Amino acid sequence: MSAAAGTLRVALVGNPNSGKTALFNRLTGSQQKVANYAGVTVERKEGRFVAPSGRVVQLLDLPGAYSLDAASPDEAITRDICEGRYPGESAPDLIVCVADATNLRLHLRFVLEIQRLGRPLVLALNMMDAARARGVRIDVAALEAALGVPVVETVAVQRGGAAGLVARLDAGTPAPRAAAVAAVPAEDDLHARVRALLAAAVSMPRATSAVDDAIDRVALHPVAGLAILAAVMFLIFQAVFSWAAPLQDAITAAVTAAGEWTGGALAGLPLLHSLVTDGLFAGLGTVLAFLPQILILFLFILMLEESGYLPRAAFLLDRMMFAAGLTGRSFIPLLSSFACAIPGIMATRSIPDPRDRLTTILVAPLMTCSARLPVYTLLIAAFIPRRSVLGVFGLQGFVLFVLYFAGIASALAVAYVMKRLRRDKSEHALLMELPSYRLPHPRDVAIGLWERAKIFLRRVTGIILALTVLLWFLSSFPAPPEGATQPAIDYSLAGMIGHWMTYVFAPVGFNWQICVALIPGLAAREVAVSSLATVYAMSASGGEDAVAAQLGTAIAAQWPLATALSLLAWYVFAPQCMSTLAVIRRETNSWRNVWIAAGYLFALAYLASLATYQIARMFGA
Amino acid sequence: MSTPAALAQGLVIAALLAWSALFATRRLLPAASRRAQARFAGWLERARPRWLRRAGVALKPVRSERGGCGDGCSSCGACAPAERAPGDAQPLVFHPRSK
Repeated sequence: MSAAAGTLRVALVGNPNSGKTALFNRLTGSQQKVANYAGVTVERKEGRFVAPSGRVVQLLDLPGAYSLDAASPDEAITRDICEGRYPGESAPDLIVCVADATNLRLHLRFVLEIQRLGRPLVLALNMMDAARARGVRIDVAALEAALGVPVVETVAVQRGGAAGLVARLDAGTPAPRAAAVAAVPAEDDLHARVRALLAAAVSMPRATSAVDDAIDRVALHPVAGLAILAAVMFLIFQAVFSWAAPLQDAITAAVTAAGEWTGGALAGLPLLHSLVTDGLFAGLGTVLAFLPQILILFLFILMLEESGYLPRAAFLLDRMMFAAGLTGRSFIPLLSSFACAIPGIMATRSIPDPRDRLTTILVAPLMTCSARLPVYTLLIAAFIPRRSVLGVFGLQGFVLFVLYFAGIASALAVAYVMKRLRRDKSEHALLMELPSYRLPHPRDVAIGLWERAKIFLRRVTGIILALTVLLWFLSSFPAPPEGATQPAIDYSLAGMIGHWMTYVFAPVGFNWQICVALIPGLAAREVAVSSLATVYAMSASGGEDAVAAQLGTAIAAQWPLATALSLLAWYVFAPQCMSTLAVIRRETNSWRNVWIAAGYLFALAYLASLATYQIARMFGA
Repeated sequence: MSTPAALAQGLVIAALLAWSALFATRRLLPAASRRAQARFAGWLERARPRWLRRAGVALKPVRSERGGCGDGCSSCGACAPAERAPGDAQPLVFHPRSK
């Protein structure tokens, strides 16, 4: 026990996807991200809880590792902490090795490696409910005797499922038995020792789950599997449009009503009235209306993450990704980038090869992050008619699917070019564990959605609010000169900046209002929408009719279709937000890579917009 | 519009603008804003009046807690390199490719 602090420091280790983070959440009450695939946790996390005896336990949740012979940066963190070599941190008082009870054949090998360290150790057999359901019988007493370490059963996803582990921690730190440590064989004989342990304590009707095998026969089929994957993705984007509409209309109506009421109350204070109606209600209200669409997108992502389907998708796409210069291991980081490029770039730590990792980092911003969804849906709703195609699916959802697909295709193309430039002909085999299928737990999905909603609302009331207020100021001052004939905003600082920028962006069809919105959009992409709403509200008559609900109508009336298509093309490549650039700098330890990423994304965005605009104009759009 | 109402309006707008500028700077330029805050706090601490010195101590930037990185944009603090725990970063290291 750490004498100075009087607390017990416990590290949760184990193979990836053994349920360490779920156990961590269960014990500490934390809500760290969990999902049914390997590589979710890529950094050390810390929490604490008080055991029934009053003992304070400081719990470390470490990235999953298959071996202490670390193959990737995240595994190195686990190795260093277990061996007491992590900078600024002593070795834990106790290691809890979490093993998936349904897959002990794989997980016991790492348990033996940890045991060889000779530190106090407890083995937690997690997912015991799933093991029993599958007919796996584990003689815990026999396993404990054979291994020479305490063994407890846990079900991390059930209330009270960690009670056995807590009781064991409360009973004191078990001293490692020298004889048991000495009995751990050398590296080459570990598998033989695992087989001996299984023979002594475990009986399994079959090595794999019959249900998993039956589903995988279809889901992993080279043709049917890809068709299912395409159908799932297509369904998601259809749902984003069709399911969100009623909720979105309700939010827009509420914001409009609140804006009108507040505007009426502030009628005697013209500047404050303008700030509140043109800035806050028009700007923030427009962004807020996209919350339902973002939540529907994440509902699907969370369910896919929990189901265990995502690693199968990585397996299906491995050949295509390899041809493009990526590996199947890039799939999970790239998929995480659909939420935001930052966790996606962090997740590349699970990629062992540094060149593969760099390529994945540089193409991750091309995945369509959720912050781009408001821009896409605003433009699609304004310019693409709401009608069905082939009588089955909606045209708007189809266009959204195409935009997401364009992001994926461009990431593959860029990765291919990088592979050619570095003349890489090496092969990296994909070794990836396919987890058992699991029905998504409604509580976990609900918590995940609540977390996403909180993140979105924090952005709306934080950075988006701040930038909207600043943009309102720049759009309001200086006041127009005597005898001015244009709207006041044309004479403001924002108007002047926007007009200057059109020298660069006129060839791609952007007007000065779009140019103004591009700048704060670098801080957070949704701000482009709130900025457009503010600029158009201030360009209008200034009355109550200039609030949130009208942005789509205003741009549909004032922009040619070619401009809308050009802006959509711009946001497929959208030079990424500053936070993403900062994380690229941190993860690659290089400003050069930051400039490469920002430079190629800007160049691609400009060229794509230019081509889209000019071709659309040729066709009269 | 009466003078007190105009004054109140000006104050509210000035306060909102100041908060917005500060918030945006802290969020978008975390390291630079922290350095500037530390310099300003140091300058105050060297001032003669005791209350200014106390204000300097109170204004000193403190190390903040970082959240997890898997939970989404702008929520993880991953873009604030100055606040990182030692040994936490995993930057890329390249070695010559074996022939």
